[in-house]
Amino acid sequence: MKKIVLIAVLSLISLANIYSQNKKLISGNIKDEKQNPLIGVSVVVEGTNEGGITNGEGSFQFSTTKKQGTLLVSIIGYVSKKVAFDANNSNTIEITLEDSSLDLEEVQVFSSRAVDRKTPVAVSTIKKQDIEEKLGNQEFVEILKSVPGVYASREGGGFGDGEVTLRGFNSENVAVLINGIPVNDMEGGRVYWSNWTGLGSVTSSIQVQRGLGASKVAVPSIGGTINTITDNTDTEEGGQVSYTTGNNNYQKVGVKLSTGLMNNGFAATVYADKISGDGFVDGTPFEGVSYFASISKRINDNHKLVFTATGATQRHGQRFERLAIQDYRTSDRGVKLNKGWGYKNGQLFALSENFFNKPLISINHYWRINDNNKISTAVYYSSGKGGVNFEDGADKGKLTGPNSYRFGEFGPVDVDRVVAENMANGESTAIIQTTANDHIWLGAISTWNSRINDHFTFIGGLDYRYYKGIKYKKVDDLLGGQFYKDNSDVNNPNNAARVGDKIGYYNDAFVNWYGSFAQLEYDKDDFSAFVALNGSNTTYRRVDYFRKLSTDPTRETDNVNFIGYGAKAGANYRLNEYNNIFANVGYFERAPYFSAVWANNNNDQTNKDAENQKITSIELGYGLRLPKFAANVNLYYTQWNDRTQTDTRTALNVTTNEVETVFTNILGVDALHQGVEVDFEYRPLTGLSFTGMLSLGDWKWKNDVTAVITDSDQNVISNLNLFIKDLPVGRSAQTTAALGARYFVTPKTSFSVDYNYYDRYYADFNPSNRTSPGVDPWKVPSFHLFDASLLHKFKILNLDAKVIARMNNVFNTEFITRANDNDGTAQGATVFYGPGRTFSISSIINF
Amino acid sequence: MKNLKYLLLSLSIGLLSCESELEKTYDELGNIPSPIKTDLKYTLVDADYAAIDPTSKTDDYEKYKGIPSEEDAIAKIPAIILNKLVRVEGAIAAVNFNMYRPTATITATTTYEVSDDDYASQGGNIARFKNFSTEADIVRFLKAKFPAAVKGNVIKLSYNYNVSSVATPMTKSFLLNSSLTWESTFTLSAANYTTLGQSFANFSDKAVAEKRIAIYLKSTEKPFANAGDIQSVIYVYSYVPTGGSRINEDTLLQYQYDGNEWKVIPLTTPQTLNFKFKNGVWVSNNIIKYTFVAADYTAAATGLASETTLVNQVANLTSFGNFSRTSGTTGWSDDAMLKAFNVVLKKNFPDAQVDQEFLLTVNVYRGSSTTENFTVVLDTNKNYIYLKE
Repeated sequence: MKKIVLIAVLSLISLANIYSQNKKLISGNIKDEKQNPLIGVSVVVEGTNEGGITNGEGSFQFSTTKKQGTLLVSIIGYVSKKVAFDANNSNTIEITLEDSSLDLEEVQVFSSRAVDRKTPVAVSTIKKQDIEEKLGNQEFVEILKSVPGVYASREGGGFGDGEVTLRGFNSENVAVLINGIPVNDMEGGRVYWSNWTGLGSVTSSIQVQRGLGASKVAVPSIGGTINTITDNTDTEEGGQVSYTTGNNNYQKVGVKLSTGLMNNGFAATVYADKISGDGFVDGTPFEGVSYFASISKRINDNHKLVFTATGATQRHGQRFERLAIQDYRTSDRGVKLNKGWGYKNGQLFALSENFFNKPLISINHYWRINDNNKISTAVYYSSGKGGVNFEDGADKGKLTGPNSYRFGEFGPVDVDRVVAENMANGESTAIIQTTANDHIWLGAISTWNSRINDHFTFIGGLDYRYYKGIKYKKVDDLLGGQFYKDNSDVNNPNNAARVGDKIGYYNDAFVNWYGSFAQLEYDKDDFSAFVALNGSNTTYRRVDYFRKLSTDPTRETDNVNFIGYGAKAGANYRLNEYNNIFANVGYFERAPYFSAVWANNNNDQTNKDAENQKITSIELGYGLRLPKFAANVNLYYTQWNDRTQTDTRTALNVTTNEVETVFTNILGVDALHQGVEVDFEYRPLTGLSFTGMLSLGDWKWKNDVTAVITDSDQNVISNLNLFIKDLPVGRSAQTTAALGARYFVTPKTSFSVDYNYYDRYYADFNPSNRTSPGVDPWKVPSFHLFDASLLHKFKILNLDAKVIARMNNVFNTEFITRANDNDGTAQGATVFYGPGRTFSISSIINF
Repeated sequence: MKNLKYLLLSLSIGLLSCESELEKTYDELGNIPSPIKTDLKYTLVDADYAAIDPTSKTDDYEKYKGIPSEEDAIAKIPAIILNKLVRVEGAIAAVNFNMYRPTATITATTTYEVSDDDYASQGGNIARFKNFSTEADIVRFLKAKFPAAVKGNVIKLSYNYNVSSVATPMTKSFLLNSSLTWESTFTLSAANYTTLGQSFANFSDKAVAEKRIAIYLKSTEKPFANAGDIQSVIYVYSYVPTGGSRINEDTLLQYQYDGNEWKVIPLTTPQTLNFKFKNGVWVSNNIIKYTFVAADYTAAATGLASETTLVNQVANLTSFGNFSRTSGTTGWSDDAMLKAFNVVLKKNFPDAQVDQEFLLTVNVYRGSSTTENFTVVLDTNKNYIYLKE
């Protein structure tokens, strides 16, 4: 008996041995280009089900029946690799994966992407993984909130109503580029983020370059440059389906498909998503579709063409009116309180609505002339159609303001009652109008990159932009009446306007921009430096259809030209493999905006001599790169002089006894933004990483301004005084801090926590209104916010899948995100509160 | 790892346990405004009147379901409404109640004897026969003779009256009643007092007077009355006020026959008084609430057009029809607003009395259009100043 058992066991063991000898052990390590171990990478033997995932140290190990073959190595954010293996070779396999966003190096160069330890610019980079994990249903700009110097807010809280400021500079002083194409509005420099609501799903990486930045194209990067690179055409066939649900009925369904690189040299990636929700704030429902397409064709080794189209069509209700703090406290709706919506026919009716579609289409041509010369050209086109709806008419007080028809003091507006009154009246005296901002812009940027020798590189280029803005108001909803009486068009007085008819104003704004730039770069051993120059000519023209008769030749103004230019230089010295220091300095003059030339929207009052704004900037930086710890320290000093301050008035000239238009371009409204920024990244153990930052800003208006307004014969008309000396700059928190932690519970599961702190935040005010001595603007209370997210990877039917859960403002903290100053007190301030606790859960399947 | 979790937890608790800056701002801003936006309303019911003065001998409140005077109402109503209305500091209540005058007041008494010329002035048979034939004649005469008489005037008239074609001398009192018509009044004579059991020609107890006169009217004076008939009676009320000497007062009673007996009619008028809840009690509040209308803004701009320090403000007011309360050149300070209020209130309420309070609601602009309330009072110089609580 014992013997039989022994034989059985022995044969079992030998069988097992024989069997196991049929399976070989494969092991290896996977790292990224910075030698960091990559966790959660999938390694599969081609043609089989056998494989494994890298652990917290980036190592994998599994057994396979195959003796030789190919390993398929893949993870999101990196270029997949095929690696040959031989099971008889007992060495561990070392694999390095490339960041997939580096795949299209040409785009990186074209977009002036900073290179670590080389480009002398303060830089923060946000990778696709972070965006996928943390963005959730926040606004796109909120992914930047842990970058030093950034203050991102949702403004009123409507979908897409986000704003980001850098180092205290508002959005017209922050350049935003998408794939190297500047997207700041050409009339006023603002960025309307609701146009780019789909960007989060197709962004490959975002690089925030603080200060003057590395961009060669002349852009208004006084605070900095936000450089977004979209997904490239994926080299592999496949796709992704995602579904996200979140608070207040948030729903997003997205599909992405890639053909991969086909034999004919074409590769295409397309993406679309549909998004909808009720909004956290009352009365802000939204829906939209965002789309992205990228088609690239490799013509030969020297020519490549890439076509990209992206945009988002959306409509969303807004919270437009800021309210007093006591109003939010008194109303039962609390921080969700919104006075800009009502009920019509039993349905929610948003009185303040924004809808827009602004596709950006570009064709990039990359031409490799020879080993040392490349020309990259982008031709782009963008058209925007849409506008903002809100109340209008002599009786708009029925819909908005203290006497509006409301159910209760803070309740929704009784729109039906207004409809009944309009119907009884025949003529509508309270309507909804659309303030439209349709526009077309066309542009071309061409950059010639020439490697002179081992150390010098020259980059030069031209940049042309054409813009036509079509601005008007039109009737959107008569609210029951038959027509709306409008007397704004001299060509059509007392017009009985119906839905779609233009009212109020109608004019075209034309901008032609010619720019050129040149940069010389030097790189030798541990030292790199650059010198850059740029110049531009901006031409403005205006056509007024309403205020001028169609027969009037002054309906169209003459061209008005402004010259802008700039110079910057920087140097980076790598002390050793761990430390580097850099400095940069620059000066540029920016042409005044369109509104400085026609401040009163009147063709007869053209301010030809509007002054350039002048910006001087100095920056110092230090970087530390150790295997487990990286840190940066930046000091900056940015002086922004001659913020546009124009006085336009008609006055009687006492010498000639005639009434004339007097323009006074007042110089001296200066601000100084200086400060220090520190950020770090620390990986004490595998699977555990910390990030953090501290930004301390000292942003103030510099001097009081005195100006004398005189007529053309130097007779004094009046004095203008601005009392702004040492007033703190408002609208952005001058002290911000962040801490983040990410921990890989298992290689497939990670958990992140983020903390943000905001302080020394002063309510917004317009320095042009400070014509009498006053108090400092109100200081908004400081606040702490916490976010958390959980990511888990798994397989469904052999497909890679992920589930991501995010919660923002975990402790449901009440905080004021935007405030307007009135008299320096909390009572007088009108504010927007930020959102309470919000959440979203995404499921993503890759195939 | 565990240490890390505890560290993070304690960090977050530590950060959250101390009062956030926002909480401090809320403390500074104080309580949220009262939810009461309109006046509270209350009407006194029977039980309320009964509860006013349970120990009263005359039982006036309960009996007449009313309060005799405004001053008494101001004194008595606060206690009633304390348990009937919500208690919110600053709330205003409009209380409806009945005010009654248990006895109509005699304002003046005159004696007059009709002369020959008077008869002559009336023409017709009156002139011919030098006597009045009907009460209507007398009323007509009184109206013509005493056009300046006011309510409560009593004229003790001596005249000749036609009784079966004989001109009989009579004396009767006539009262100009609250409808401003002359009404014949029955005045008790000395003999009447005796009949009614009085030792002197007066009554010292109002309740006794009312009861006995009622009986007398039914039995003797007006035995054939019809239901609804009204009769005014004047008797002498005799009393000694504390620390003084005896007063004999002509007192008026008005009776109405209900078909069975004569009952005193108190004249009740519905009245409304305003009260304000202040420091835990209701106090009288005669504040007038007024919201500016479009014409008022125009009036203010016009009225202040010559103020050199307010040129920008007035221009802004004219353009926008509201008061800018921002900190720029067009902003109205509290002092400037007061000037505007003086213009408008003096124009709209020229008869306002000293100490009259106004709660003004005006449209203002402080970054967005809203309203603001101001409380002003007319001072002894007939100028409006801010009310200091």
